[in-house]
Amino acid sequence: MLQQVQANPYNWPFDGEIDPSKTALMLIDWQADFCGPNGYVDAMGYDISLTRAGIEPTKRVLAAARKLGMKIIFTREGHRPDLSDLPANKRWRSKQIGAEIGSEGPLGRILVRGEKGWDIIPELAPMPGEVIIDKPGKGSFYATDLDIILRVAGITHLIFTGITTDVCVHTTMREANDRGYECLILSDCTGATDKGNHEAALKMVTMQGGVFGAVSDSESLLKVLEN
Amino acid sequence: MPTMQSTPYRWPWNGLFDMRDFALVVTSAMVANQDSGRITQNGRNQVRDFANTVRQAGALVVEVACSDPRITGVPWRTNDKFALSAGERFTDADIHIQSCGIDAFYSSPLEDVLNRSHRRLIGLCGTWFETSVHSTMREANDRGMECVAFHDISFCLNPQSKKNTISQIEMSGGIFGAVSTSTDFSKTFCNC
Repeated sequence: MLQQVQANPYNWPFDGEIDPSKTALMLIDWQADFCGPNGYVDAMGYDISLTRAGIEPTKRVLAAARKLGMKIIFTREGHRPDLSDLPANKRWRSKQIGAEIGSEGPLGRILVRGEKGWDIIPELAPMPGEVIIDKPGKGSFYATDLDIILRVAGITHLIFTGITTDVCVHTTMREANDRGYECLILSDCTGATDKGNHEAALKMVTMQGGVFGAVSDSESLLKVLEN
Repeated sequence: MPTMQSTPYRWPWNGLFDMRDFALVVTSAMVANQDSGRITQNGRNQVRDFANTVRQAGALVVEVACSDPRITGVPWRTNDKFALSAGERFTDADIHIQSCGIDAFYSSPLEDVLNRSHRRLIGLCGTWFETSVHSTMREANDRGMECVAFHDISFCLNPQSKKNTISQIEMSGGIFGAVSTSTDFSKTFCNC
């Protein structure tokens, strides 16, 4: 058992110590399309240094979590090659902004399963045996087997890293919190296409005494994990 | 049918609006004792009047009393400072339902209600903009529904976060849908 992590608005977890056997590290959408050069986010014209900022601290947290034997869960957003799971409005919006999902880009077809841009970046590559969840939307619980995998493994606590803070990470954390998982998000292991939205997303977690869980950072967590 | 003024694109995306496809989802989130006063009677009246207007025009109105995982099941992280209680009802909706989470879809019949009445165009409003309105919009959008949030009748827990709460929807060409006002909707689709 490990001690609580210093976090806002309460030290995490609420129920005392961290039990590594009941805690999973979530790595949300560390895909080339969201943080790689020539990927989807780059093609939309956003600054990928913002979505890449969390790579190094996340590497350190991932190494510590693996050492402790925590469950490691990766997620990937992407669609079937025939785009049969792509809602028409989602496709249209991506086309309007110049990065149509399913169209050919420098990293293969944008956000299509099996393509180069859809894959997880090498810096945070999964190891054999680690769980990868493929999802068609922003939330990692909707239309996936994430919940059953966590329940079978006896996981009750989740630590979030990933991109982007306000979209896929937040949606998944909201879903997890509703399902009774005790959640922590690491401010420096996440990132968004807009800095203000990143900061607002973190602040929202802390409203009403921690409406979606708590916020900490890699340094505070590593102090506990590596002790 | 015309499209309505909204950002970052005119809603709905394909210009195919039909009131028979439209549902207004009003969320009523839990209130912590320190939240009281962030919503005025005038704000409540606006929601109620808008719900009546769209219902008379043929929309389905669903009001969802949202919960908080901290009070369902085991005692969770609450303490006296953040004692939570149910929000006040906003409307005389066609259907009143209860969800088990901050998200109106979580453990509620909302998805079935919308699917069985063939409502794929969804308007959202209520409390709180950053919590239940946002979570519900995210879930509806992942289900392929075409969503618009009415920011004039979606009430923020923290008024300073309103700008980013709206911006988070508008990024990437409208990642969760569009943002508009109830007045723009009424003018365009209800002739008032």
